[in-house]
Amino acid sequence: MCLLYELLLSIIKKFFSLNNICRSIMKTTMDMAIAYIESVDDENFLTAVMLERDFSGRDALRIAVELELLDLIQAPKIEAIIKRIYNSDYDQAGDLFEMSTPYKIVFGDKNANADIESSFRFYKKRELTGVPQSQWMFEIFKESMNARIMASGIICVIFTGVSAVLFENVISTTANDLDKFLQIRSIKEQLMVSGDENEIISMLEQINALAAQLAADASALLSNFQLICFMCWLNFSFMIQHVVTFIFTKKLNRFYSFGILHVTDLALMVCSILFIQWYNNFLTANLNTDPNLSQTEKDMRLMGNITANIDY
Amino acid sequence: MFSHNYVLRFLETHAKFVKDDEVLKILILAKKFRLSLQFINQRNTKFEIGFFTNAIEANAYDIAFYLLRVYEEQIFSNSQIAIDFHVKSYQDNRQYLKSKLHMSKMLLVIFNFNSAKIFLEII
Repeated sequence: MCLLYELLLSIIKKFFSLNNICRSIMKTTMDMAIAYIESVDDENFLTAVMLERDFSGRDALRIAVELELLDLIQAPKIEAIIKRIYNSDYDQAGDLFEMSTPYKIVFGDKNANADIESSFRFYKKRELTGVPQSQWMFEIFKESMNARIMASGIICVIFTGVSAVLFENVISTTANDLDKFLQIRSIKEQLMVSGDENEIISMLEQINALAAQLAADASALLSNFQLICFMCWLNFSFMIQHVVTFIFTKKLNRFYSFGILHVTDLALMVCSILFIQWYNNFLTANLNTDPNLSQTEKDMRLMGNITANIDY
Repeated sequence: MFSHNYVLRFLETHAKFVKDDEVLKILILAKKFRLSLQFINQRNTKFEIGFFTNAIEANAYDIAFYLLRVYEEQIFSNSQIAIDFHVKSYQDNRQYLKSKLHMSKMLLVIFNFNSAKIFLEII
């Protein structure tokens, strides 16, 4: 039915004067398809029909989605099939910890969970009810879109959590030491215009004293910034996945839309690029140019960079 | 009953008594896909549009798709005959609908208005 529908659409594109007759056949076909779906009670059979592929490898469900046949997709039985495919056929009940051998040894009832297959091996389907299982098992995971979305959600939460901790750390360290950094900057500005030798010496001593207090914090700040920079590189993966999806969907002649939600990924990538650029060009400028640089000199240069870019 | 190699050897031995195009038509009508291919390759048979129309008439769509892929230019140059037979196949029987629809999609570029109209009437 979907193939016929697609062919009729192609005919309309080629011979527009046949539009009316094609539309009426399309309507009849759609009515027949919906009536047929309503009349079939065997869900497995209907699933097999909907997942039957044509010669180009697309199943009926995919063609229906491509052609936006909403009447068909929104039929209750088809919705049930879509939901079934989304959740997979496997039982997703249970917990990951219940699968672990130590857990079973300690808490499991060995008598209740004897070898369930021993009595009916080879001639019956496996009866898995009551057997510990989880949606994170590979066999279930690979079949279930729901589990995969949950997994990517969990990874995103961890990623965001780690990022938030690092950012918070950087912000609090900067807030604590901001006064001292600003003080160094103002002394530096006075140094530029001062003509008195004693005053210059006293100001240099002040800078040294402040720098000695800040050295440890500055190093910690740099390592945090390094981690954030690394995470910014990882942020690219969100955008890269869209690019990869775009390339492959175009190659397979399927539709692709860059949704409004994906703009956040684009914004994330732009922010990451800005941060990496700031980190490489400003924060770590002149830090790694000379391999023979002493640690003190490195610290001083780092503090100089931070002081210069504290307002960024 | 006879292996493909045996049939091919037999035809080779009695080559002077047989006409290649007629043999090929018989193989197509019998839906012998691999044997047809072997025969075409072995004898370098010249393509005729009749092979394609025979394949469609006999519902041998595997052979028809192969011929369309390999001899696309010759088939498209005889587009009217190919289309007529293809459209007629919808009327002849209701089997192989998926193959027929896929074939229609592939032949849509050479469909003319009248053929499309007849096709829609049959549908």
